[in-house]
Amino acid sequence: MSNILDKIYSHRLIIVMGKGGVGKTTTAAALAVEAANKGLKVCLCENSHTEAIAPLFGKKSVGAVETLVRPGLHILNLSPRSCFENYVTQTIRSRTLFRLLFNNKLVHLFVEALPGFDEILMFTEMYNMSQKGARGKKANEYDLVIFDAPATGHGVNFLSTPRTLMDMVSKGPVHNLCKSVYDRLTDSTLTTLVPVTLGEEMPVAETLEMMAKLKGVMEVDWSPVLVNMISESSLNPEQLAAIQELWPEDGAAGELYGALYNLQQQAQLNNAALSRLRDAVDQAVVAIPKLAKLGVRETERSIEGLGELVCHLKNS
Amino acid sequence: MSLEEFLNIKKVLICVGSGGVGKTTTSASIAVKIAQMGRKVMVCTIDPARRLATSLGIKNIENQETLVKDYGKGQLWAIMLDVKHTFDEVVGRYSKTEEARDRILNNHYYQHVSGALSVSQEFMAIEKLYELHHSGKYDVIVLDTPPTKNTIDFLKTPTLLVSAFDDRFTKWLLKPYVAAGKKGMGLAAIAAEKLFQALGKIFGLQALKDVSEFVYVMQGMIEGFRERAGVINKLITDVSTGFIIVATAKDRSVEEALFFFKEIETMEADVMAVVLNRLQWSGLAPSPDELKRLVAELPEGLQAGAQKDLDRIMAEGQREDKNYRFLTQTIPGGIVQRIPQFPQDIHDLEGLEGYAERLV
Repeated sequence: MSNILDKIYSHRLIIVMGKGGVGKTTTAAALAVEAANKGLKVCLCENSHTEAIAPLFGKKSVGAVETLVRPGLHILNLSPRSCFENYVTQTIRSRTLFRLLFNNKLVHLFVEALPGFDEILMFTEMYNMSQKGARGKKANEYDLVIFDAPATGHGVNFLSTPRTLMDMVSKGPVHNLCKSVYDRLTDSTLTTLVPVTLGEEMPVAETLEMMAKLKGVMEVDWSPVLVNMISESSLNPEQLAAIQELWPEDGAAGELYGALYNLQQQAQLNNAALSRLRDAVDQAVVAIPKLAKLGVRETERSIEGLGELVCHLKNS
Repeated sequence: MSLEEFLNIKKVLICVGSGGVGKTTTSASIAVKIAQMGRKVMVCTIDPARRLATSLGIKNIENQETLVKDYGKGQLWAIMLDVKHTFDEVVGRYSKTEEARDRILNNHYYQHVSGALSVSQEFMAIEKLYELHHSGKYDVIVLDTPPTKNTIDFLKTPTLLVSAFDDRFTKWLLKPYVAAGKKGMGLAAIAAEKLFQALGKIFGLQALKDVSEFVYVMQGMIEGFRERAGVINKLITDVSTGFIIVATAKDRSVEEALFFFKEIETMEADVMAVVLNRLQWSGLAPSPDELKRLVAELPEGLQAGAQKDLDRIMAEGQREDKNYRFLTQTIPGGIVQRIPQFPQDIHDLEGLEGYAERLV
């Protein structure tokens, strides 16, 4: 996996994708922490009303300000507004006009309404962050930008919008902007996609569907699929049956048997989903077990938990 | 009041929660329960992943009110919204003339955005909710809300849309277009305006023209929107409407549930239940010591494996209990309900009925 990690890190933009609740943010954060440990200058970005990354590093929120949280690691909640402001001021060279425009609710709606224009602006910003001099002298420059993509269930839409919008607006500034994002998204040396999912029937089916759809629209570089929160059971079915024989059906023993049974069912379900995924995709599939230190409301433990996840990524 | 009593009296139930928490399953099983209780219920979803159809075990419910099962006295109906189609219907309803309607439907910009706008999903969900409720065909409507960035926003969209068109700056922005339309001057007149030149540089002139025309023709419908926004607000805060918040025991999900709870309280609407879903082990009755003793008394060949599995279960349970306690301390009234993880995915009515048993 160390190899796989290095290969992921050879890109300039890593897009971590998956539906809500699959541990996507945690995985993106673990990838960022390890990249920074390796000496890369990293910015970990999200775009969300309620920030999920900042709390992992002991902050409530950081907003649209690139904030250093560990040596080599900045975090940022990308705001379409500030990306838009950067774009507009570069284009029309007037911040006053920008303010006038953006404070208007209709322009607001319009920017949102041009399907995916927000995303295009955000991608432009993220590519500029990792390109020397693209944002002027004062701005930070990064070796690597990791994007914890929004879990809206429309991963395909948001990646394919540059293409859609490019075709919809056949010429002019919006077209050019979309084309430049599209060209960089499809450049396998610049950008890679890391799908994150769970070892269950529906999430695996949705991941496969997402990948197939995206493959129909554009050629992108796919990193291994990371499958989170895999349950493990140390009892085989015969042993479980033996325990059932020994214990009474009700009371504490009954409840514990039920829990042991559920755990084993869960582990089997996870395994079946993993094999299905392995059969269906070309790239590697990495199973990550449930980690005790993640998902608790304490920062120190979450940092330890990220370390645990990193170890697992390196060793598997 | 217990959830069952609530289900007996409420006429509109709205399920909210972030993606991946089992919201659709919860909506569907609540609808099943209500049908079993002898009422005629419609469950409405907008989720393009077709989870509702899958969990109801039927193939296609796209934009069609479909009878899923007749329980004798009660009936279970379902529909999945096609956003574009519903938007077209709404335009038809609010347009003053047929010509006005066709101008919108044929607008280049409208055709591209009506399905893609993220607020349109939310707006259409709430539109349909009102329409279904108002039709009087059903005793109860259960709405599975779209998994948006900020789910509660969808309740505010009617107001948002209206205020965007009301904005003074918007009116000023539209002036040259309106004038151009009247005098038949077209694009050149618009482009002459300095501000439009600037906007044209950003978006391109053709795109701008499409949008201006879209806004211009949509203005004719704004009265309809305004009225509807008021009516919908009333419906949401009515005593016969109730919310169900769905979450899992993960930190993030619990925090979002809390956020939803506060937002709904601010609107002075009624939260009936907070469902803590997919629990592995929380709320188990026996004490840890008792569990350890049970495992210690197992024969040698079984002990080591059982001990390892027990450790896994307890670690998970601790995390879940912690978040459960946090929720019950913050949300009063004993409305937080725990639902265990089911060993199998739910994809038929039987599965939903089992889930409903646990819930109510």
